[in-house]
Amino acid sequence: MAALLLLPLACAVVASLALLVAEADDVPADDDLAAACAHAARAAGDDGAIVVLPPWTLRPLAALGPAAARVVGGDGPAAALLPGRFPRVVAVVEPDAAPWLPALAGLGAPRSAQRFGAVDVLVFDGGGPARFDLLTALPGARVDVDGRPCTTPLERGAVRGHGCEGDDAGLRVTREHALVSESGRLVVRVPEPRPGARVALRFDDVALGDTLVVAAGHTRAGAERGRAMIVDVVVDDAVVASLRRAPSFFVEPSRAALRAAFVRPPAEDGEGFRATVIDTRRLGGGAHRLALVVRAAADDGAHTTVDHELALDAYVPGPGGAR
Amino acid sequence: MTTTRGDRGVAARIAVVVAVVVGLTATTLGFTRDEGYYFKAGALYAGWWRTLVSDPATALSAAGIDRHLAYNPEHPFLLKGSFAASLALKTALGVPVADHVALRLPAWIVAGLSAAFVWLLARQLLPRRGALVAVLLFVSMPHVFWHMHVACFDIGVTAAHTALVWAWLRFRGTPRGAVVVGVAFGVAAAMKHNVLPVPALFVLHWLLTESVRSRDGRLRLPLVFFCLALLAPIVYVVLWPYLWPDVVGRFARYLSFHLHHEHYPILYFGDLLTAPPFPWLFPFVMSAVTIPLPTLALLVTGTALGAVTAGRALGARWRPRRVGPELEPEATRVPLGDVAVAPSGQTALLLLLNGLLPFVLIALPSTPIFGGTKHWMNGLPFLCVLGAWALVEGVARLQAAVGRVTPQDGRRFAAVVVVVGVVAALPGVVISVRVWPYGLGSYNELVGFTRGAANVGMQRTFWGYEARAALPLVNARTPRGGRIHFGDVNADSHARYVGDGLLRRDIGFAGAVRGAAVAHVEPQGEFKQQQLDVWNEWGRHDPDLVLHAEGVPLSTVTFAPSSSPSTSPGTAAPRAGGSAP
Repeated sequence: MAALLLLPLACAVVASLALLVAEADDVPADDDLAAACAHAARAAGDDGAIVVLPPWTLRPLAALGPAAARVVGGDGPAAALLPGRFPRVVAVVEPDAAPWLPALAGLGAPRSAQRFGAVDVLVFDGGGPARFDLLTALPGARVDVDGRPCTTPLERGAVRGHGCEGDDAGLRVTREHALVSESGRLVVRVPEPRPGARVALRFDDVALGDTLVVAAGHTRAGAERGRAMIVDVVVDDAVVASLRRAPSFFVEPSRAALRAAFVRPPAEDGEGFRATVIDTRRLGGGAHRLALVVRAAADDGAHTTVDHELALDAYVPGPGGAR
Repeated sequence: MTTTRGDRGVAARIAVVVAVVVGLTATTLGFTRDEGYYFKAGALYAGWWRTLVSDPATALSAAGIDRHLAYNPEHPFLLKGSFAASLALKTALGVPVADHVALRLPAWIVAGLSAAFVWLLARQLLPRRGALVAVLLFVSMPHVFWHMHVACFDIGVTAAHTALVWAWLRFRGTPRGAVVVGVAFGVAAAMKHNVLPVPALFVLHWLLTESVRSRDGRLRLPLVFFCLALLAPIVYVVLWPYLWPDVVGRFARYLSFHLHHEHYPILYFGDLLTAPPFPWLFPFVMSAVTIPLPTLALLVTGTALGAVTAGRALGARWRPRRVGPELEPEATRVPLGDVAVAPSGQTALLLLLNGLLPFVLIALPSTPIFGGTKHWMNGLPFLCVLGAWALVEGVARLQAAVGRVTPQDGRRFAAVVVVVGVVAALPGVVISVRVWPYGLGSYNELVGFTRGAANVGMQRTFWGYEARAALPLVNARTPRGGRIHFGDVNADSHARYVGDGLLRRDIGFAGAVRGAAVAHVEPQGEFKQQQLDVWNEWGRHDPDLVLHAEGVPLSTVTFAPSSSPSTSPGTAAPRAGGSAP
């Protein structure tokens, strides 16, 4: 009986003191972060991407200075959209990042690794640049709603996009940072104007390769209020893929089990903003017309533009980004 | 066992020490969102106190009451009134401290009282060494210690709930004592509504353990229940002048507010919970990942010991036995209280009911779950007493297993209890020190402390209190007349920062990033969008300051590109937890 009463405490005290000591050095020093981030900024250059891990850490952003604009996140959605997109990917890795490292496996082994105190900087060959990148191509896109063009250029702060006119006035397709995961990332936001309508983003002369990566999903607000949405991927007037996204918010794979145990079961058809890789080899290389057409999965006539907002990203990996 | 004059002296010393430590460690703690409201209430209510002194008839009139006390009727007057009285006294006496110090002072005193009442309750039931362990466990819990600092109601109602149960155990047997219990309940309810169901627990406990039918088959209710039902409401109304002009109507509106309380989002395993039904495990899981592991182990062991002994006591009472319940042998070597008055299991049941009720209320899927762990904090003192009991009992059994012991050995074992109690409390203190002043972001060993909690997607801050450490930088770099977007900090807290000289007077309050000169935002959960607003509006991804606990960001400060720095950045980085480039 004495053991029953005291053993849990004894084990807890030993475990507690051991963990307190073991994790005492987990917080990177400011100087180490500064040195690591300076190295990362140099390694990324002007066209590389920077990933910070764990994704919740923001101290590297402060240390990176203007190079922080090259940070593409580090969480699941960010990692899935890296291979073949940038010439280089540089990861600034703090302690406690282990759950997130598997997501970088698509980049292969790092070309170099350097340690700054508790911070690692890993430099990967990114396999890019991408042949086509939705985020940079958006300003040149033709946007229409059921064929009616949206021609007003939008520029507000760092947000860029297209505004619609006439019956669709108020509708905007913009490139901005949105909460498609707890970290947020740069995406194209596409709200649907009215029940049954289709918003199309059209691009000419898109050089396709072996694959086309399209990511879509709801923002946090859209997941709360919205309904299922569909993105039709159209190449040269033929639908090559349809991506269905139920209204849900992205769940990090490393959290899925805990979330299922303590919060709610996972959705059967996947959750939140995620990438789909479309095999485009049968379409052949060269220039193609590409359209991303967004619509609601069901037309029940009871929603608003806010309900049916969807976040998009897409790119054609460069030759070094075979997936 | 009963408390002696010496024990009451120890209680007084505990109250003073805890209040002083809390006051001394509050200097870096920013103003919480709710404090903004209560500071404002305090300032308004101070006017009522002044009127009460200068013109009592006006102060006590309906117009006088509504003029000064109509603000924030969502919570009773007692604590806000004490904040106000402290502010009025400070002003009248010309004490040279900031207003927020005067406003928080009563909360610190109540914090001291909460520890003192844990001591008194524990001393009612345990030897001194056990009572000391109970106090150590209670005050060393990082979330409890953090809540002791703020001018809110949660530590107040925790103190009052503990005092009420102590009064119940200590005094209810006599007519005078019954009056004391009735008054204690009235005062407790005047702190916050959490304790309103407690009399139902007393009735349930009495029915299960003590009730006796008379020969005509009727239950004879003890006087104390009449005091709880009749005297307490009078005390409650007397302590809340706002109710006086329309007691029924205003109390009904107050009750309705809390029965239909809005839901604030909370991040839980990466899910932003915004609306019911909420996971029923929430309070248990949150406790399991925020209470330091050794304390948690003792609380669980104590709860299990309490459950076993309570089950035995109930069995002895309700199952036909050859011996009466009073003759049922005690299951433990160390009794919980005076077994001549009540078997240990009976007392353990009372502690279990009071300890677990706050958890159960929050576990109901429809109950609002915002506020981290504070809404079931008033159950913790009882679990601490049970935990201390488990430790004392365990050591007593170890002592018996060792064999024959001399009185000297007995003293050594008593010392062992205290030493083990100190060791058990130590991790909580270390965790508090490591994250201070960001105690709301503290997590325990099970989840990997604050960094581990961030990895699994737990809420790491709310109430916007982090901002204080950023104010020196904001003062140094914000252009004259510029406005600050303050994230979760509300306009009332902004006004207090300005009023107390912590924020430059010309720095206005902005409701959005657009148009602001500087943005202080909490980059997680419901506030994460504000960080993206900074990126989208200003195109700046590199914050000028990151306030963090254990490297986990709690808030960031970013200046608009047009804000020209008047001094070099980073000069105002806080003592700990701030990273500036």
